[in-house]
Amino acid sequence: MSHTTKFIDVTLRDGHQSLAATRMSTEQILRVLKMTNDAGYQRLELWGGAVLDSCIRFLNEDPWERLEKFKEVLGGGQKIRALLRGQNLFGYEPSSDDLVIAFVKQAVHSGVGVMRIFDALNDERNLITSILATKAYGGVAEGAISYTTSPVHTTDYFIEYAKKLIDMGVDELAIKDMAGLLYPTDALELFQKLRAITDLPISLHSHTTTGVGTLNAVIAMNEGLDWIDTAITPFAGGTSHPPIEILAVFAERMGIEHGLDKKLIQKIQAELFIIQKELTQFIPDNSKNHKPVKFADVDVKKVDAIIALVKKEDKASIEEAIPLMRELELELGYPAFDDKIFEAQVPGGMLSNLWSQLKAINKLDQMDAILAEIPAVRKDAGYVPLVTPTSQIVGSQAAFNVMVGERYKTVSNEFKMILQGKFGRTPAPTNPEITARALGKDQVLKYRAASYLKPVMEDDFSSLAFVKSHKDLLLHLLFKQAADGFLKKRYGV
Amino acid sequence: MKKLIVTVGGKKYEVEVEILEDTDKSYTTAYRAPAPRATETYSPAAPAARPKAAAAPAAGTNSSVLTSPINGVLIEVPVTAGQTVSEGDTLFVLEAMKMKTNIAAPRDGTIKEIKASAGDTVESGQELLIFA
Repeated sequence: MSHTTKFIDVTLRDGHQSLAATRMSTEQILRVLKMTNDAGYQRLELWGGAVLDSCIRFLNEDPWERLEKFKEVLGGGQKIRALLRGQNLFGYEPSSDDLVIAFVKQAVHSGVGVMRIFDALNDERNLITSILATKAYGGVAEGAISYTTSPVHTTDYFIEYAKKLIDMGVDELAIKDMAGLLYPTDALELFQKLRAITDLPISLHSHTTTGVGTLNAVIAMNEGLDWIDTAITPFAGGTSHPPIEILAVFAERMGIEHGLDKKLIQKIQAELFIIQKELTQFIPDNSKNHKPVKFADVDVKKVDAIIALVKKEDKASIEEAIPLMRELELELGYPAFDDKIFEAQVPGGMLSNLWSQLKAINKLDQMDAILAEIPAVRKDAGYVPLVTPTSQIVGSQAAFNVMVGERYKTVSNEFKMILQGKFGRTPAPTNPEITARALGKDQVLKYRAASYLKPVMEDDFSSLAFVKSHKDLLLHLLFKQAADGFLKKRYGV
Repeated sequence: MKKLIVTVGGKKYEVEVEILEDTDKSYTTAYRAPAPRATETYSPAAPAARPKAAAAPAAGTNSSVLTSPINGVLIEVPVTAGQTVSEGDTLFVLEAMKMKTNIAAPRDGTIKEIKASAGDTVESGQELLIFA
């Protein structure tokens, strides 16, 4: 079976989550949503991830109303994709099964057509409830592989994980490279092996943080992956996603029909620059200098040279294509890449978080020692991928080890949760000595983490004056005080 | 001058250290940790720049003062003065760098005085609680 690649737009979810702290309001999105739909995209990522949290915490918006408005504008939810953190839903810790089922049901009814479901630890047991619920209520369940690097995260490890997801009944697969860690030569091998085991649609979600995401997208197109996540300038490039302005040109030169209205995309781009200005206080300095990009600006000679190298399908040629693609992107004004991660193993976002947190407690002098400690702590924690929330947990534990002057004398409750398996099974076993000492009498969980959680939906909530609907209740149960604050303000109680 | 409680071989020493510069702004500054330095004076096996593994918690330590291990904010103080506690009971919940850490009783005993309350910002080495 042959596969042709189509582009997905993620500007209005991960685009602004990556470059503007998830602060795009529904009003701002609605200025471009209809046009984006009309531009010919068959799928749009619009909801999930940090959007719900940001809505209630910062934007004073009801996330359900946002989703329902999108569904109305698009005339249905089939195109709407949402990112779901598996059993963690849209929060940071596992929820009980009854809450997961109720949340997914409401999300599908309110407008989510495709649920992209992942688990930060790649524990497939953390996906099963949301996969089954998505399918039961009529959504498309896409199972995503969280990509990271470590001695245990080999290509074969990811292929085995993909097989488990397929066996569990996902409708589609995705490779989610949230930190831009997928090196193009490894990408080639991963795409080829994954394509060989399944005819299910496969998506690539790559961030351009490290300057290789756009090349990975071209490799994916050449290897017959089905969907590529892209964004529209100025919410493309940098810590966001490959720009459609570049990838559409690649598709054309490769003879792939993208079906997009380029004139309309230029119009959307112009409006997005206005929105970017409105959000300027949330945009990091190094991502403020995008300039308008026309499809015609893309250097076709370089494009052809890169395609020729990618088509050779060997690692040496892929290596050669890396600097060419980086040049092409920098020429068009996209943010400079940061590829130190390939050596340091610490994602850029984690680095800047750590820096500001140490600054707040006047401990910046220990930054270097803490950075040196992070890989050791990650190993002790069973090589957990460094993504939210594990990046923060590992970073803080490394900081405590250095600040106290003794390893694991002070252990955070969250780090204990990793050791105990409360987030799920770690990719490799945790350090047994540290685990035994930190847990004391507590045992490492044997079964699926959420199977230890009591149901929450059957309790009586009638005394909560700020919970006036089932949708309010779901927000209250997932986001606790943050949701309560939003709901109280909304109802004036 | 800053007071620190330093534990060496299970014994606690109260030491005073002078912090010469307290306003480092750049994280490229060399690693300079006041607390471990102070221990060097007392400990035959001085810790290297990399922290060593913690010794198993010493059972039955008889120190009467409990100090904060790190800088942070106390978010819960679930005990009161006069209360009898067992080793391992949570005395304080400290929030630091977005993490919650339980500060547990190092031994059985009765609480004589609690020197900090929920909401307080505390520094490493600061006295939190005194056992009778």
